[in-house]
Amino acid sequence: MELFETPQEQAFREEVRVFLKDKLPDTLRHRVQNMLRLEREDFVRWHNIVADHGWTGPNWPKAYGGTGWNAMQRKIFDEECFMAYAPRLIPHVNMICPVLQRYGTPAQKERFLPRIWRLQDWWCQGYSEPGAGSDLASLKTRAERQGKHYIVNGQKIWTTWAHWADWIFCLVRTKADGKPQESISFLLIDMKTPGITVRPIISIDGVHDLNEVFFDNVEVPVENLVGEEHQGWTVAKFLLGHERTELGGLGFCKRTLAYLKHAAARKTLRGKPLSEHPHVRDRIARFEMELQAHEWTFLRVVSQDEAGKDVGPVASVLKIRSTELQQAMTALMMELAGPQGVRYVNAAREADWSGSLPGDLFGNALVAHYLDWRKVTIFGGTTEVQKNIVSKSLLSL
Amino acid sequence: MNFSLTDEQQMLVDSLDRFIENDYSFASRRALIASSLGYSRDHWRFLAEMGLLGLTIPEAQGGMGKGAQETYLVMRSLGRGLVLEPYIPSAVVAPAILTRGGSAAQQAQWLPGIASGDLQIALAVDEPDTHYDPQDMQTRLAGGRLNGRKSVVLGGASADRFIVAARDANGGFVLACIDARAPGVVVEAYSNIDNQRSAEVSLTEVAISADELLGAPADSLELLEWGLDHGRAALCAESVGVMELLYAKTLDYMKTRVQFKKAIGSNQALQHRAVEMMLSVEQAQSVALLTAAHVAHPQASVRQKAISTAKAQVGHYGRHIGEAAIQISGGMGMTDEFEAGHYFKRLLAIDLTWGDSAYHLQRYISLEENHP
Repeated sequence: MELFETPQEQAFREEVRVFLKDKLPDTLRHRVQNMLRLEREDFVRWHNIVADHGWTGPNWPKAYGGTGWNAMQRKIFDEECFMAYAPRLIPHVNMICPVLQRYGTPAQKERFLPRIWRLQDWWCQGYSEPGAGSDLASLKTRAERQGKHYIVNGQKIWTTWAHWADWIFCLVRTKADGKPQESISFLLIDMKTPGITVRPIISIDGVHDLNEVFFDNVEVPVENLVGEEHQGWTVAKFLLGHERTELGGLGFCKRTLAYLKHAAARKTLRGKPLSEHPHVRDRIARFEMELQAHEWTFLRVVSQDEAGKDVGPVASVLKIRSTELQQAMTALMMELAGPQGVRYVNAAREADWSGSLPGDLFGNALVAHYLDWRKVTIFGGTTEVQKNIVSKSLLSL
Repeated sequence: MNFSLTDEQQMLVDSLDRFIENDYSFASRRALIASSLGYSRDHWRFLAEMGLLGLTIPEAQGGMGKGAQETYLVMRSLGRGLVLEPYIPSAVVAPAILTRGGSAAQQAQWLPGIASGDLQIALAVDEPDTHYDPQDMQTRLAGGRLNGRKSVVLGGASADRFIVAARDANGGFVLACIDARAPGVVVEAYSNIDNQRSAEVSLTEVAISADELLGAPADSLELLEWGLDHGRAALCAESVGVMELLYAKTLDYMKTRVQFKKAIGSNQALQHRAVEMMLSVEQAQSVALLTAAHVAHPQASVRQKAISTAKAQVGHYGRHIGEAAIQISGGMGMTDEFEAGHYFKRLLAIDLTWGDSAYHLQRYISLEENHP
């Protein structure tokens, strides 16, 4: 056992720190730090800065122009980016790429892969439907083959950033019924195709990230099929398996803990910082301890994974503990805002805001952030569905 | 980082697991509980022959010269067997204190005996009026005489010597390694809730010679905390083994217990509890490894923070696992006959030994304030 970061890992951490110090623009850092809104071009800018440094695709193998980093390096990169208040890298990039690398035709790889990392094409995910949430296999959007095209009709929902997207990767039904394993296909659809309508969904915090996407006789060339026809479920499951080894929210948790300590030291009650009051102090210390436990569980899973051993069901449920911790921390942040916590002016989070209300973190946004973060135990498989799946493998009943 | 065991470590685990599997059945354990000693001399000898009683003692003193990782592995296996032998006080805490704070002569005098299994040493720290914090100890060493009362001395029933923590006439700390049969020492042995044996030790005008005093007076408190932290790390590792077994047994029960014509494990409410239990077991394992990494850290505050993190969390996870196991086992969980309760009792005892979850949370907080 080697229970500390190796000198190589420490050197890599330092390399990432130096990069972030030199290359992360102050304007972006300021916006992230204060939970102000990022626009499409902000994300594009950041992706290009990372790519210009030679770090194209932290999660990709070298054969596809990626960094070829191992899980430990990815963890370090993610953590340092969070602690430096860098914008996030668009998660869809790490969904569509592994799929194309694994299942794409040579033509698809050549056409799409080079444009993904720098967000020359912005991709969104067309999975969920009004009647297919946790029960994804019951999706109804259908694609009928007519000559050289599929004709797509139906509706997708919860499509993050569909209003910014150039392309959508979609699960569609290519057979009217039958097992999902034999009737669903994976299609790449150009968002500019006639017949596509994007309608915004305003979230609980007043923000527009989510959308509904409607397909009305949308023509999709058959060469945009990924994998074999009716075998899309296999592709979808591969993608979910790829998501499983995501980073356990460590970067988010560490950043939020830093916020909490900062806020607790800044706000006072009866002349003493909140950080010295037991009701706040004890909770922050518990978070810190739970985070350590979670981090080491993550590291153990990664270590086993890299050693080629079966990581078992715990890998699937890392998300459960992580998201619970994330939500508990965002709740305390909201409480630390005190009476100002109730105030919320959505427009003050926009880049062009010129009002008098301070757009800083503690002046706005914390309740909204708490509300927004309720999503993490819902998306990517609700906590309850995860428990259903995992308990099957635990109990094999 | 890398959590894979070396071949040698894997062999250690395998041989201990075989011992538990073959020689530590629940029925034989019951017989030991009922015996006057409360554990088995044969098992003690076996542990000595395997080198485990001298696991962390230097080779020059008859030990194996291993470190915290091996202690973690041994304790985890002993936890799986709910082993009754007083391994932690004699083979973990006393060697930690003696190898760091003992003089060459003291080490030569006591360490080989610990390693061979002929000598047992227990740490006497808690008192009737302390709540885990050594600062509150009333036991005094003055004029070469020791007076006071020590409480819940783990392994004290069978100990040959005690490492007694006390205050000196100036309010400083001292550690003395005294003979359990010295005049003025009265040992009252009893069984704890988990069937391990402890003792109340009263000390009346016990004469202390200079060669029984450990370490320099200025370092005594740190030496005591060092020893306690090694014991706490071992308890955390042991609790992982206990939790793993209790969790596995609870899953078995869910698969076999039938109600309403189906296994109770087919109920979603219980399935979700099982997943929650698995998560606690995993987190416990993580923080126990955290202690293995940091227990010998050169910076005391780093060591103490890691130990308190783990001990606070393990107490919390142990309570969760135990309560869930009893609830899932229903009426059977309430009986002495059923195994689950015995595992739970050990988890409770682990939490209440050398600082419970709440104590270590507060210790962690004051460490954070003083050594951010």
